[in-house]
Amino acid sequence: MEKRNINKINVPHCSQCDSFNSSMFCSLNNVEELNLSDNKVHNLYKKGQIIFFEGQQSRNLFCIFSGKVKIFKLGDDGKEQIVRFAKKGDVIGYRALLGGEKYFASASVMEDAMICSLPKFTIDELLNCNSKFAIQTIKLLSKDLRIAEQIILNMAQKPVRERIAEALIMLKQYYGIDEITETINTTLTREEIANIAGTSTETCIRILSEFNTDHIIKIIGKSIKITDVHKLLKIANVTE
Amino acid sequence: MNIARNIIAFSEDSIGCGNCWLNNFAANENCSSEFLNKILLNKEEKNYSKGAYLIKSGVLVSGVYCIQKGTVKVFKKGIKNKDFILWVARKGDIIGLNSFINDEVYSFSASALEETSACFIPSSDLKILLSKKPVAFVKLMGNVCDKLNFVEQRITSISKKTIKEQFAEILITISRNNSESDKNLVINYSVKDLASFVGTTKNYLYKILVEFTDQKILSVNNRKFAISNMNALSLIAAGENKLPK
Repeated sequence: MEKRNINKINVPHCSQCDSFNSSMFCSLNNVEELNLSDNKVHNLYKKGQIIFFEGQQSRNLFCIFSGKVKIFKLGDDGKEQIVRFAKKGDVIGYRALLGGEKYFASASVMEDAMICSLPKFTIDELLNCNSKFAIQTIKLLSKDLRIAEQIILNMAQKPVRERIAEALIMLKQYYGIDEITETINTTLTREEIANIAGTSTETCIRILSEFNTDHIIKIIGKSIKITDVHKLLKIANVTE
Repeated sequence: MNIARNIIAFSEDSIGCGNCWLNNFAANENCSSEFLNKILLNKEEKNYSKGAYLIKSGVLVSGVYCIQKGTVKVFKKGIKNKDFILWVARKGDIIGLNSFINDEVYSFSASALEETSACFIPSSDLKILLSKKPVAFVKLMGNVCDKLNFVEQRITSISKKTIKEQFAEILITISRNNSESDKNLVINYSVKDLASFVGTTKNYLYKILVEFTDQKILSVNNRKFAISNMNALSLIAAGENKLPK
């Protein structure tokens, strides 16, 4: 029933989109925005569906209207490592598009998502004509780079327990907390949490249940509620 | 005043911006080196001895460095002040770009691994260049994209590969970048630097080094490593030795 409802949602023009002003497109003028809106196509992606694969040629830029998406790379043994998350208003696949390269990672849907795809030529046009848009893009890139650098640093030097605590804090900051149940506003499988922290599923389950018995978090089915943020921050060893 | 500055810029150019990223850019975009020199008035060439810092993390961003000669490690301090090398910059690479873009403090440190000369371009000059030639943004993006690709590849390796496999991978990356001048694939890093590149301790890395030399994959000579069996090394890097035969 709910899924049928999503199907019926008409994605508005970019200017009417809630996240327009906070996205990378905020510097566009009316004409450019109209051009963008006219050329975009929106699709519904179901949970688990792949938006693009690593190694594919890039033709579109994807902008998330609703839902949640994970971006991951595959290791040699076929296990995935999550590099980034994306939510409403975020843009994915821009790096491959800018360089005209192949996708460097894959993206798949974690919660049913409505995604607008913008063809390459409109973005190229924008980049050449609108220098503010170019600045916006490169800022986004360098922000991603900084986060990724922090991730490798953590993986190389922090123990698993700290990394899982940090992953939980990151998820809380990124997706926020559900108002009614006070749980983290996303449902990840244990395997996915393990893939963020770069550890095995077994270790992840063990550490999460340790946190649970220490009353730092509360596990309610698949969702997680953080009960003692200070303790978690202390475990994560986060300075910021 | 301006003329005098121009002359200085010209004389510096003659020192050699040949491999510089900006010069490549200039050639591709049909802007003359005179044009570049007019904009980049305040660039200066600096020399660094081994171990000297080019950039210290936490300092306000003043500009970017183009490496002319030598190698520079770009690293971060992790927990317990342990270094972690993010990547190694070589001739033609540009350091400090992403801190420049976000206009804050440097988020990393950079220090010379050997005798290095680098060209310092102040933020103000680079900003003028970007406002006059917006196409340069696309070039900058390409540069940042490459870094991001490398870093994401490392994230995956770190979580999915053993230290040995990662070390093999890093040796290959280093040698690939070196190979134009060194036929024997010589790697001129200290064990400590290599350890902080892989993210392990010096002792453990030393153990792996001994193992590699026993297997005749590496040969060590006077604190320099040479790769003698590239095939075996790439097999290890790909994790092939784990699979049942």
